[in-house]
Amino acid sequence: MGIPSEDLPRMRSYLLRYATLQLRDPALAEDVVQETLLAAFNSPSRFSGKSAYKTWLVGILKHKIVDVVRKRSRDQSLFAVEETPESEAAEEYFAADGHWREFPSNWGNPEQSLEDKRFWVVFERCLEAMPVRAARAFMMREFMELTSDEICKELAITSTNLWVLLHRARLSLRGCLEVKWFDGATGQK
Amino acid sequence: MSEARERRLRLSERLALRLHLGVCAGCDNFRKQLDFIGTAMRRFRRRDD
Repeated sequence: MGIPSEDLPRMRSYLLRYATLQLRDPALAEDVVQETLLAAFNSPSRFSGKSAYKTWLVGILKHKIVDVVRKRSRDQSLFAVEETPESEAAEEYFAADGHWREFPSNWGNPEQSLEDKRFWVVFERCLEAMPVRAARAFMMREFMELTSDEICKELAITSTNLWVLLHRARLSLRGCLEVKWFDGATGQK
Repeated sequence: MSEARERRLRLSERLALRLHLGVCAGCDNFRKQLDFIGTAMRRFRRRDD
């Protein structure tokens, strides 16, 4: 049956957000979403419910994203190489005497937040706020579940580079969540 | 700790880490936070399945 035309803009923007989060490249994200909608349009779907249809669309998109990621290692222009030395990243988070600049607080029982819709809004924003290179590596690892070898090959980096990128990504995400959700010094909301 | 998620630490590294976590509350909080981030990402992955 396909998707009712009034739902299409919202579905499209959802797919676009999903793709951008992983690809960090608006043009590329546009492309894969277009391809997804085209593929969906061209294949008859027998889904009765909107949510089942959405899941199916996301499934197609997921595959296309992984395909793009695997193919684009040949296209150097998509990956501007920013040199961020490991020492720089460490200085952001630790003072000269080795102590934390901003002491990680106790988040108490953070699992409770996973049931809160508002948490996921903040979580996604924090994902979007990560430094681009680190975010790409992080999403390839934690979301697309590619192996370290695959990621290193696609990004043309060493495993040490990868570790540094993932570390930066986690530090960024952790810091963002602490400030924007867990409220830093005051503990859990 | 981040590296420990990527590869197996040597025994000496694991011991050093254990000892440090015993005295550094900040690092202990950090470790739990990293664990939570892992859990949250797994959940995030499944949200559209």
